[in-house]
Amino acid sequence: MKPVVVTGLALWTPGFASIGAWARGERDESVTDCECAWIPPRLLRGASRFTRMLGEAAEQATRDAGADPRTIATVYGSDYGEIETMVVLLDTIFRGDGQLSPMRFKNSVHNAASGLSSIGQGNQSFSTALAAGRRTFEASMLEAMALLDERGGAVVVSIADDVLPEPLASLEGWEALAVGIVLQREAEPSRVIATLTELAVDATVSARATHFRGHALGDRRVGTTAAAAIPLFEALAEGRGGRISLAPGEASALCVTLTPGARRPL
Amino acid sequence: MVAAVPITAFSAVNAMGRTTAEVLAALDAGRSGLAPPRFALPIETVVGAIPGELDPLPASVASYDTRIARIGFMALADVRDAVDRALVRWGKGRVAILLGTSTGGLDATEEAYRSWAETGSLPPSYRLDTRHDFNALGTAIGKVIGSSGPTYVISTACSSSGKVHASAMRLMRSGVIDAALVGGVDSLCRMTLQGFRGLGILDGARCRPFDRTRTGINIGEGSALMLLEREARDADVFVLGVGESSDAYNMSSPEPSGRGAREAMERAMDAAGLSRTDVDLLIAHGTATPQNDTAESAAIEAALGSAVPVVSTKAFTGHQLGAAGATSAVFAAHAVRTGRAPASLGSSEIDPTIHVNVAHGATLRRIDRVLANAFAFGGSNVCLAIGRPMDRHASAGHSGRAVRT
Repeated sequence: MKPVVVTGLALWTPGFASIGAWARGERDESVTDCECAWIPPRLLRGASRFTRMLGEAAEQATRDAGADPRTIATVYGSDYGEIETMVVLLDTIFRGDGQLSPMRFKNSVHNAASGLSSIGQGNQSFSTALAAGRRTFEASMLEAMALLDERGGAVVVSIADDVLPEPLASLEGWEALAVGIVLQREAEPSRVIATLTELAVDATVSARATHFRGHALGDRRVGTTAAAAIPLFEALAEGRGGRISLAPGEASALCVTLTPGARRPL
Repeated sequence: MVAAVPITAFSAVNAMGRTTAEVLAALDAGRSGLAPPRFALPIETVVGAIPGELDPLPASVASYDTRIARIGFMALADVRDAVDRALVRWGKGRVAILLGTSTGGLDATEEAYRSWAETGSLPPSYRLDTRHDFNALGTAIGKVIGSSGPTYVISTACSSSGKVHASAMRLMRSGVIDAALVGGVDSLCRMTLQGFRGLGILDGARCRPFDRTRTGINIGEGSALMLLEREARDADVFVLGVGESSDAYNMSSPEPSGRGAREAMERAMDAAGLSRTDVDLLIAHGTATPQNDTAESAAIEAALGSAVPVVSTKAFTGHQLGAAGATSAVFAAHAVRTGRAPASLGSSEIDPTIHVNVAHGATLRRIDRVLANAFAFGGSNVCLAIGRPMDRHASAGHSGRAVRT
């Protein structure tokens, strides 16, 4: 795998509208939903908060990288995807009149954010949506790095899971969290946050992050799929080098070597 | 251009049969598997259900036991020996499991939700991570076969199991893996049936792709798997190239001119080093919705002209959604191996606005290269080029190939 450079980062979670707000500890209780500028309101009818979270993280990271939202490739990852929309539809089937909303149904697919964002931006570039349980961030990074190996350019990886709706929330629980990261084959040195090399399985690097920029994630955020990105984001924010796991706490996890670049993201 | 990747084993289970041999025999015989559903639905339609009861999963992965997993393990059985050999040859960390699905564990969650709606509690056996999780089947397969390579699901609705071929080829070229078990799986669910009815595109009778009387789709279930390896001395059929594109037009309707579909086909041919005259057969997405078939035929005409034979197999199996692309890939590989091209079942009187060569009957002839399309909600398109690499049969030419008897 050829080296790639990191040029943009993003994070969204209730109370924190951006990675900068999180890093500065600027909690805003009014932040409960995403704007998601990539998807115009007419397209968001029948779309979930989860869809907006994925689009928001992709948009923020792309803007941070100074990349073109009309041409950047997109890789969207989530463990449970549009599960909120699914529960609304199941409720209509088993407790309602069985007449499913066409708008909700077409937005129930795992690639809803991929489709809506591409339509909203007129972006005809590569796009995909994937899932790999707790290893979704690792798989999404692998997919993105292989894509850059093949065709170069820039790709934004956006990972999110929303809270589980009832009655499924009784089984597992976590806090809503979305992260975004832009990878490129090459970029102006002044735009490079870090270079990632030596992608390989490394059993010696596995620690989960519990804090990000000095702020406790809390158990419910640590349990979110997107939290697997936090050790990498923490190292990027601090300008640290070394080996970082893309699937902290998992067996046979892929790791990358970080070499800090000229730009500090926060 | 990309080096062709050998297909060293493939399998398919669906409404036509419980084994690959049964499925391909029915395909060759022109025998549809569509029938009325076995569970109560407030809808008149036919579906492509796998016949008979499905065997439970091995005890070691019993917590993953869902209908979709059972379907996937049925398909695994027919490629298991080859997969085991690949794990020994390449190493357990060098074999990926990349599957496509649209429904994931929705079938299990539907039953759990129904139970909750009726009793106020979820079934004790229901778990999100092993029953609903999109990647649960891949995880269970990995545990059973002993693979520790990359394992993930592409879920881009009906293009999912076509796109996994592209992902596998990229990982192989990047040196991350040496082999991949790729494919797709989906199971029949109330939500998909009632959702497509809500969109007004579910046909109450057997679907009729490209026909002037077509009104919509039938839904099916099934799984198709392929083992791709970096090198195989005796391979006779290959993934030659994959083309992916994005419509960026509408969530559920194709771009009317078929631009995205055409781009996917052109990119697949480009990746495979093919010109339009090198293509012997096109297995269309061919869902039988008025919009899809019109847009797809326009795209085929623009990319390939109007001479290449075009078939849809949806009237054999129903639209298997996340398993559709992989199933078409298996049918393409079968056509190359045997020279048998299926009839485009249900295509009796072709829509006069469609100007491609829809094949009314099955044929037996030399087939070297096949394109297989899969298109999806969200404007996600993929086309697979499957067959024999150009340099192996350069002298055969398009017009001079012999009929196999």
